[in-house]
Amino acid sequence: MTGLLDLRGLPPPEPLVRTLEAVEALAEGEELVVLTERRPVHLLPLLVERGLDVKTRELPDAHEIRVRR
Amino acid sequence: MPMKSASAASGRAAAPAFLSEAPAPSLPMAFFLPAVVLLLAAAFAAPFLSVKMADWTYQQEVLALVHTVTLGFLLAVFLGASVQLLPVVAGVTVARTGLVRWAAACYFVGTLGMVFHFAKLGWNGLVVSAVAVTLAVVLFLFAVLPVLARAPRGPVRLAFALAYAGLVLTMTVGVLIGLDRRHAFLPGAPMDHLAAHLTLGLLATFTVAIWGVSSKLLPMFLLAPAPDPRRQEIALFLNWCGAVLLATALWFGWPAAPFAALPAAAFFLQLSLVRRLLGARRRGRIDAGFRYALSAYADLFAAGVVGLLIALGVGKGTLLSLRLPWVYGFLVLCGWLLQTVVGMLSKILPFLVWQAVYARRAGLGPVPKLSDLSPERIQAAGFVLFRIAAVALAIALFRGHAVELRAAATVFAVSLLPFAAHVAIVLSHLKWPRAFGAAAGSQHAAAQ
Repeated sequence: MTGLLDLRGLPPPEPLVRTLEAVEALAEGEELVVLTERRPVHLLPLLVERGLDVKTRELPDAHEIRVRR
Repeated sequence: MPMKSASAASGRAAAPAFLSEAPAPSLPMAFFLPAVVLLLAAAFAAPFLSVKMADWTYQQEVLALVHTVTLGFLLAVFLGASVQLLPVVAGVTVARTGLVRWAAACYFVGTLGMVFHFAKLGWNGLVVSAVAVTLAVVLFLFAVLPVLARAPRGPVRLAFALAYAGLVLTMTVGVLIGLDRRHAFLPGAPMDHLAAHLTLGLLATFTVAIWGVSSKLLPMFLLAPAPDPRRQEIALFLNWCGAVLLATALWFGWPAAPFAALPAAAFFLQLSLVRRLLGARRRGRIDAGFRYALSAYADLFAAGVVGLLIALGVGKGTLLSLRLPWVYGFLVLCGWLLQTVVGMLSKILPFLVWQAVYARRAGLGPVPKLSDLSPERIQAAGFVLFRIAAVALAIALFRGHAVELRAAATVFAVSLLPFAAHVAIVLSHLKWPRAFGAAAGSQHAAAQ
């Protein structure tokens, strides 16, 4: 199952907080797609620290982060 | 677009992509915290120099005071912002963090030495201290330039490159002026050399640095699209080249007014970019930190007008020619640069402290918002007080009466106390992290 979290338009550090809240609810094998305005450099290491698989890529109007537990 | 990936299991292989680019908050703090202390020291020393301020600008105690602000506060904050911002922009870490910490220590020892020896007019000690500051900046650039080289082309990279070039020019001219005091080898008048040194520092270094940091910080916190990068780069180039040409004209005693046209054009271009950014922002309310930073443009405009009057020779041979340089220097140094940097630090420090203390708790329990770290009303009061104090001190500097200067300088120093309180409250979270209960968390969620 894949969920989508569009966090564009939120001031820092809201995207970080909401993403970390959302990933805590992920079940094993579930994936969350997060869209942010900018590359969330402070968020990415925290996701990895929590044992999650993380993939990122630049889109024309967003930064996409795919998080899988 | 190809995807970058990392995981706990494959963390080592993928680490360069994710784990290392976010800078450790303690690195910029090594510059920011002593900078705030030195700013307060300078502000509260100023009232004791009121008699000096009623006289002309070129006095040893005034040089000490100005260097406490320029080296002790402005440049220190710029160096700290460099190690905070450049790795984020470039996507690579500062590899030589130990070198940066040594550079910070050497920098502040050298700066204190310079200030002390300016005040005591000890030229040998001044030379040794200036060497320490130069060594610190060289070490710093050695650590940071590889990061800058990896940054993508754009306004931030250009601004930092130009600001570092401006810094090298400013320091070189400063050292030449110092050596000239002992050996008198420079052609031209010493006051013209000082004016060139000041122009390089204030316009070719700090102003381009501020515009570079703003191009990242303003869109991020005001939730606005980044301004047109091409126009930003033109503004940066115009300002930097114009400042260098203006400094050259001042150095050789050429008429300065025609050379001031380029920085003036850059200012209006930058102003139009900021206005457009404000118009396109999705965050309606502008908080106190940005009110400092945005109102500083009015002071830069006023400084430009006063600078033009000086360049046109208004009041030449009268007392006015003694007072206008004071007003110009104050408006650029305190009205424009100091006010902007105070505003930006008011935003950057809570962010750094939040990252250091609360980021790891996010998702596992309630965490504060950035605005919860320090009461907004303290910053708002500080901004109003600062505006009143800055206008009062500018008028007092124009009038040149020692009693008025002492009173206005005291009010100006006091106006920085709310900023100092804001910094202290924010930093207290490092030592005493607050517990935010479920109630606070739900209020937080409801407020979004």
